[in-house]
Amino acid sequence: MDNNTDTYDETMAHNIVDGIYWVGFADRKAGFSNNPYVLDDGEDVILFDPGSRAPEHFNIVKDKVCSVVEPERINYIVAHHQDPDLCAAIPLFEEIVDPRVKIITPTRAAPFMRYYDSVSEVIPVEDGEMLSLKSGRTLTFVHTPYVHFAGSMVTYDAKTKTVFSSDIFGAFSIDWNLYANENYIEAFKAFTEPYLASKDALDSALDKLETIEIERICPQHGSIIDNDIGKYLQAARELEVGTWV
Amino acid sequence: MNNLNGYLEILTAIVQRQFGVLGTEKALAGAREAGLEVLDNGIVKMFTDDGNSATEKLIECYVGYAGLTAKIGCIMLAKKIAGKHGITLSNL
Repeated sequence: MDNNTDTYDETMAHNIVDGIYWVGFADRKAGFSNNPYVLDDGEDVILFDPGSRAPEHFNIVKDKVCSVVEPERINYIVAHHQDPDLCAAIPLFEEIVDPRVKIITPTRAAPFMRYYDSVSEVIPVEDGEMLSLKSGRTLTFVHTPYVHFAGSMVTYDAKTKTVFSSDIFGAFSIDWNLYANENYIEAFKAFTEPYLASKDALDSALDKLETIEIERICPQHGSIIDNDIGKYLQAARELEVGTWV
Repeated sequence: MNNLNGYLEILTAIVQRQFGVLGTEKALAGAREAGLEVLDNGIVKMFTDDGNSATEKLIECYVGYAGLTAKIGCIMLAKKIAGKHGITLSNL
């Protein structure tokens, strides 16, 4: 595991900030990265969007997860929506995490979790619902309907002012970097514009995000944004979506 | 050629979008491989085929580099600019 923002090693887990680790992989063949994250808060450990079950993906993520926490300490899995690139690995992780693990997902995504053959308790959450960890740290789940699935949400960690943004602010990137570079807005547009259907839905999500004090955005695909957040929010406002019909 | 500026705008936008997806070096190499005269900032100055063929060739070149994501990532952009100039990109 490393924690250097300039010279990270993408083959290792990466410490982003205070107990938050990137445990993903850059799939340059497919043209985009998958970015599961671990939040280690001592008595509570959360795995966000575990990712694909394809062995060439899952084994990388599993090894990185196990390099930063004992997997049996993971007692929550957050699935920001139901897509397989976020959720397909859940049953595989269920074999190694705390057997009492709970899956937190938006209400409208919850009915689909069982189709992954998941055996864990699913906790559907509403917009604005909070999870209070044993340390007192809180995670707030902010619904972002139709961005891009009806049951989509992001998670806000108030302690570090981090948004786990799921597909929002994701990117297509063969030329992938863990942290967004000067070309990231084009990569973000390349991924986001073709997959969002509604400007109203996007604006609703951005309205919510703009009320939050954000220091970094950790998307499920693409790169971590840790500076000039306003520039990226503005770029999102200017996206043209729902026109590829 | 009709709509020369329109096609130059489309090609430029595609190249600059690929700066983000492929990285600057590969995006410029692909543009030049597709027969475009392009500046290092991605601005396309000239193309040799007709505009439609040049656009298709450029996208095909990027698909060769990066697969479908390269195409998905720029097709809406190309169509949007085409629409602004009254251009029909028949094979996209």
